[in-house]
Amino acid sequence: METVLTPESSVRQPDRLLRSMARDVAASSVLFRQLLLRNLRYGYRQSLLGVTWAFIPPVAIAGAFVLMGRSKVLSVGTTSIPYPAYVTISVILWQTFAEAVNAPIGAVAESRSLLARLNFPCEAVLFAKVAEVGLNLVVKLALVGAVIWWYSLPVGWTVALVPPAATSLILFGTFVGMILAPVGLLYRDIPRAIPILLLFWMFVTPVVVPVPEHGLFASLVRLNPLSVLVVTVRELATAQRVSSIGTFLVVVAVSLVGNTLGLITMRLAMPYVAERASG
Amino acid sequence: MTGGSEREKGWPILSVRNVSKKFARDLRLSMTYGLIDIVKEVSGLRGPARGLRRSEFWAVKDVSFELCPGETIAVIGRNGSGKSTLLKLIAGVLKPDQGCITHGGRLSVLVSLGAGFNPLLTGRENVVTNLALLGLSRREIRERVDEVIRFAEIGEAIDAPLQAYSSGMAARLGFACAVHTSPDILLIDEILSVGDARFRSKCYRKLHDLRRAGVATVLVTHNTNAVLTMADRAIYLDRGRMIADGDPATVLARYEEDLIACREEESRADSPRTSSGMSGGVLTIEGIELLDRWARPVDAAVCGEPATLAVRYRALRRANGVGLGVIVRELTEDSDVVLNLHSERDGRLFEIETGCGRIEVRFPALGLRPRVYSARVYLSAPGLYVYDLVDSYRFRVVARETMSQNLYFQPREWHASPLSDVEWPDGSVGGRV
Repeated sequence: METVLTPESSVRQPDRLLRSMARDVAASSVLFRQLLLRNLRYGYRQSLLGVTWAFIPPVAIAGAFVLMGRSKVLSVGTTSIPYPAYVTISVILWQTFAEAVNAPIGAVAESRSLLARLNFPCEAVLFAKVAEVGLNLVVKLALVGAVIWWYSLPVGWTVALVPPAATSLILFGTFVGMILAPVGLLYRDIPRAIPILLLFWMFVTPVVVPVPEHGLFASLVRLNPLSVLVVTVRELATAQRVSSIGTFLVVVAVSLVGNTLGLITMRLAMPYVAERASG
Repeated sequence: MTGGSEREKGWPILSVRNVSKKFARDLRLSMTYGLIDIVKEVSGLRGPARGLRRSEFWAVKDVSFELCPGETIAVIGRNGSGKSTLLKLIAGVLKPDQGCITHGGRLSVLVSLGAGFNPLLTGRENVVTNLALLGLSRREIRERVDEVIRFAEIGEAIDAPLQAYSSGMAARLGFACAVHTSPDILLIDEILSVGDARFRSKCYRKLHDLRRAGVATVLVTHNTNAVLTMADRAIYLDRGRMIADGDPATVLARYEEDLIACREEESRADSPRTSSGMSGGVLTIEGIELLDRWARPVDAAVCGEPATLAVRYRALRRANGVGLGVIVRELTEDSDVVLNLHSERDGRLFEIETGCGRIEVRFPALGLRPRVYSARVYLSAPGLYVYDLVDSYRFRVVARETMSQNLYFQPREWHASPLSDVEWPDGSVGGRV
């Protein structure tokens, strides 16, 4: 098979670009698996608490908000399920989204020196990172199950839809992450700004407080595409009526298209990132 | 067996045509250009670069060559001449700004051994990940893991975390991974200094086998021996431009001429002939000369002919048991010591009287091949007490005969006799078939 490397933009030959991408993705399944295994082993090898770390942050954050709610520091309002359950489930979903936003830049940044030396499909690095977020979600869903059991929340058949529905948070998160990645891999301002952006975003998403009824804040929460994802997954988990399935599906569809375009953009951007990486 | 068993010798497997690549010196501008280039790439507006933008320079400019299966080309040049950039362009890590690179088959890169190794994972886990990074399939990895581990000679430590390995062991593992990927084209960047001499020779043997199996190799190195012994051709890059392309010995000679001119210019600034006067001036080196067979001072000695290195000294008081040491290196970057002589090791220590004098080391037939050398010359007493040293005395060796295939001059005589007169080791005479 012949490889031709020229200065011309690869999008001028879209069929060739997509073919090479599909070929690389297919061929990198072994690499993806190895990188995922490496990340998992590496992540827990020098750790006493190991996988427990998947539970600690959401429990700690939820605990803090429950305390603030009880001591009236924070005006929580009325939630459809007991507040501790509400906030724990929501924080777990939120964290999954936040991890997914950080995944594209994190994955490439961790492999920066490698990408500057070797030509291998960057998609494998990205997929391995996203799969890690997915596995973290699976572990965290066990905590969701425990919360449902502890508070004796109603459970319906819709609970079976929670894992695929929660995947929408990863999809939307990686979509946002990939919009930021090409710039974020060149300028460190973006990785620095992401935590601030996420903090702001958390407060316009019904994570620690329910959706407000009126006012500017209510409009912001409603315009936020993440709100519908979090609310829908929470409704599915606690056997409530799903309030906006249409909008949920639209956000998922947009995320899917966005991820595909994001992957292509990252592939196109990679030589320019590698050029500026040490190595 | 390599992936290229069906290849026919003669057709280029790698073609580099008028390839150029530019970088920006200013970091902030480099990031801005990166962003602009990404936008152009994504929008389909990017084409061949027309010129340089502010703060940019050509890291590689108009480089062209072709490589056939089984052929090895060496890329030589000073640090920063664009060798590694050229390799990254061929590997597809970087995108060219001008020109075109075409290659067929699997390409493997031997660069930064152990890139991607993780210190907390075991050697075996790292091998599997590294082989996957180098593009091997699951089946190929399964088949080759044991072979890689055997080649690297890691033994039972293979199941220990990599952080317990010495740097040599990790490098051996990295080399073993890279050469077991069945490449059609192998790109090697300055990695032929792994492990001890025995493992190094094993690496060279492996590379030799790969070449015989039809693997085309692009070799970036400062090691002149590697260029002369491994390469069929060489190209010489200077500030990104291809200065010479052809027979390795000729290209190397051209490179070394330029290097000498450059070093001489540099040496004028740091005057290396000045001695350091370490012993408070008790015994100092006043000058060093290279003499020919008639004891005339010369700039260049002739390979294979008598030569003398004469060291003039000044002694403020009498000194007993003074030895002369000479450590010679080729004047190329990263070159090894080619001669390490000391009169004490040859059983010669000198009694020095107050005043000036001369100590000489005579070479009945100078064995050094034609190159430019840098010698560290020092006067010392037993117990490594150094009176004085000159760190870099530069001299040139030229040849009256062609020496491009030889690493050193071997004095020799040739004879021919009728077979009946030849006495064999077992005492019989002639007549043997």
